[in-house]
Amino acid sequence: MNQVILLIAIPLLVAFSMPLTGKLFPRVSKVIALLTLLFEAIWAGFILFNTKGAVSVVIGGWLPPFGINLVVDHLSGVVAFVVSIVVLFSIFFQLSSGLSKKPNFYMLSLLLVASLMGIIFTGDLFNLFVFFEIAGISAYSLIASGKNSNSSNGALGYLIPASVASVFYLVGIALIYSTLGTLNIAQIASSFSSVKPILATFIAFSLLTLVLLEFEIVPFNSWVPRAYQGAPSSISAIFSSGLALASGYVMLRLGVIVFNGGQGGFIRTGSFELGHALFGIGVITVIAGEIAALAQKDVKKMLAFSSVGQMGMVLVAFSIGTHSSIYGGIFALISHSFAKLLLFLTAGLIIMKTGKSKYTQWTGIARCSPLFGVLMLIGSLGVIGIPLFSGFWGKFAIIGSTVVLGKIGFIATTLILAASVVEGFYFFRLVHTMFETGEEKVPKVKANFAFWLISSLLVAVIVALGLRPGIIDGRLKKIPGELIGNAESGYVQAVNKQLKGSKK
Amino acid sequence: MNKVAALGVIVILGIFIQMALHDSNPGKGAFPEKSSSLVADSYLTKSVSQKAPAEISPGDTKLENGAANVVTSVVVDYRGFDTLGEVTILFAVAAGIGLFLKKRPHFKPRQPGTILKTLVPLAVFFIFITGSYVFLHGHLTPGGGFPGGAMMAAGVVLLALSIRKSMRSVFFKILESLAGISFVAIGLIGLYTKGSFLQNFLGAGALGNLYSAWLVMILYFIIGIKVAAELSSVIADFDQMEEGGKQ
Repeated sequence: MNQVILLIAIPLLVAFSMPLTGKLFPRVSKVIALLTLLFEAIWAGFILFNTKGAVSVVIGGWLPPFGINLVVDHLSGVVAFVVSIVVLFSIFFQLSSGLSKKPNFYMLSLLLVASLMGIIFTGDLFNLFVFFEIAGISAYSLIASGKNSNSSNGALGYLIPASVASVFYLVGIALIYSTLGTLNIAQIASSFSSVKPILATFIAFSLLTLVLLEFEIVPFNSWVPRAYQGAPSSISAIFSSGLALASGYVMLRLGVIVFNGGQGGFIRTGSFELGHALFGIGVITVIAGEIAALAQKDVKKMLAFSSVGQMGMVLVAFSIGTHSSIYGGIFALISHSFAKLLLFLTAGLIIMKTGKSKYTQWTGIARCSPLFGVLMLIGSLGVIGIPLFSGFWGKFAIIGSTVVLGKIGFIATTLILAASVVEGFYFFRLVHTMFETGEEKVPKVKANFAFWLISSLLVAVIVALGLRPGIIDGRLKKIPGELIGNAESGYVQAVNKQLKGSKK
Repeated sequence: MNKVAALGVIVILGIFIQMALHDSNPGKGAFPEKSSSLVADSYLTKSVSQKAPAEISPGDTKLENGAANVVTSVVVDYRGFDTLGEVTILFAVAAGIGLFLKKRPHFKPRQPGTILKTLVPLAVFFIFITGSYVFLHGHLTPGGGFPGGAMMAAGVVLLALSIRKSMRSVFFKILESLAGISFVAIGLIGLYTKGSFLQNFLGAGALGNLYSAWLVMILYFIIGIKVAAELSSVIADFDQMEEGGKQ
């Protein structure tokens, strides 16, 4: 299992070698970058397949909490696998559409995937910060590499809040270190309840500022629309399906394991009901995201706001912190990743070929090239959560966990259902416009083999998850048990075993 | 209105911080009286994986880590993975700059004055010597790869200013690339010989000797080269390019 480090080391190695290979053989270097991403997906799948329970892997030969460790469990395995597939498909799309010719683009994508893997696997709070920084810096440049007028604007709009949030995160780390004397997540988790309550709340607030910013939660998500619109479509897809997924994962890990001490139920830090606060902003995020998406004409912005709404729903689920809500949240995140990837890539291709970025200008596109309409429809159904498509099972489990909560559960249930209706409205409005007969003649949109390969695979995944969630259920169902309670296979347990070994 | 709101947020935040730091509830506070449980204590006595030696003196060879400079031993050895990340951040910055700046079509460098022309070769000589001293002695004395590399890059800039032909970033890019590859490669060698990424496979050596703490020394050499090359290539990019280019 210590081979998991290759998921971080290999993309870094290839990225470092790209200035060299890029000068010598510019074409080959891009193919090498793509092959590296393919390796990531295969290797992450291999790691996931071999995961039996939480395992801690040390780096540098120093046992935690002194050295840095990576932790592989079902949660990190599943998330890493999905993220690697998302990045592979997006960059394959980008490469095959011939949009970016500079090798630096692929170099930064490799750094982005390496940092996402680091965010997912690391068991150290400061190491997490370093990887968030790498992800951020590659992301700023990748957004700015887009070609429309909003690109540099969007990058700047992301850079400033993210930098401020990083400072907060660093303050949180410093306070934790001076209070508890360690940076290891598992060790902090076992002693976090001894921290003074107001201090604990402040630490949670500082750490979560950065995480919620990347997770696109109100009020930290002002960067979302411009960045998504300015970035190349493949990068928007990685943001929505990869970065948001990874940050949601960190939110879950910090919230349930560290702040709540793995107890389950609403997250509490000291005397403060952090869970209720998160529940509240989650609900606000759902409302704000869906209404903003409804009012939006620009397709990429609309998809961005729809992501915001979905992430709000997932935050609601995570804040409740029961077995079924955590399961539902993860399922919803994963299915959203696949569906949004399909939507972003299809929309990106249409925008690239026609040059029209507003859905009102898309009249009749699906009349000439109906397959694109079908792809958008399937992606939409996956996001909305219509039965037989993947989004259904996530929402179903989340609603199942909110209805039993009493009064606030009633509010949450109503909102999630209402949000689905709103989602349905604006997605069907988009697809309907595509199928309308327009007055002007629309050119036929053509796609290459790579696009059809990616999109058919994604459609297959969305439908397969919808028809038979059992294919990933076996692993997902184990996740809440590893987070909540002190099961022998749990995350904290795995690291603590090593701690005991170090103190002979 | 916005400014008032911003002020309000800052005031609330300030009160929150004040309350958090001077929390009177029972529990562990931010400034404990006795900080005996910090992981740093074990770094100081070099007792992470073995019992703390009674005394650490120059020339000791049985230590788990041979770097006399404690900060370096933490940065490059105990938490070397973070440093790989820091190096990557700098690399990402350089790559990002290369991505969205484009070449200036008609670039005429300004001619250097007499002072620059005469003095720079002399100064650069000393700057390079100091810079390389700083990163080669990172395991013994304060400093290390990052400041040493920055010094070297400053020398390169001075040299470029005095010679005043447009700087070419290709050479620096190749150097940077080689340094990066060797950093990860050393990590992988550790993984396949000792079983853990970035593990020391070279032994600790005698504390305080120039040739000791091999892993730290080699990694800091690589970091020094990499930082110098990266900063130089960033400056070369800025020198040749202008804002607003997308391809």
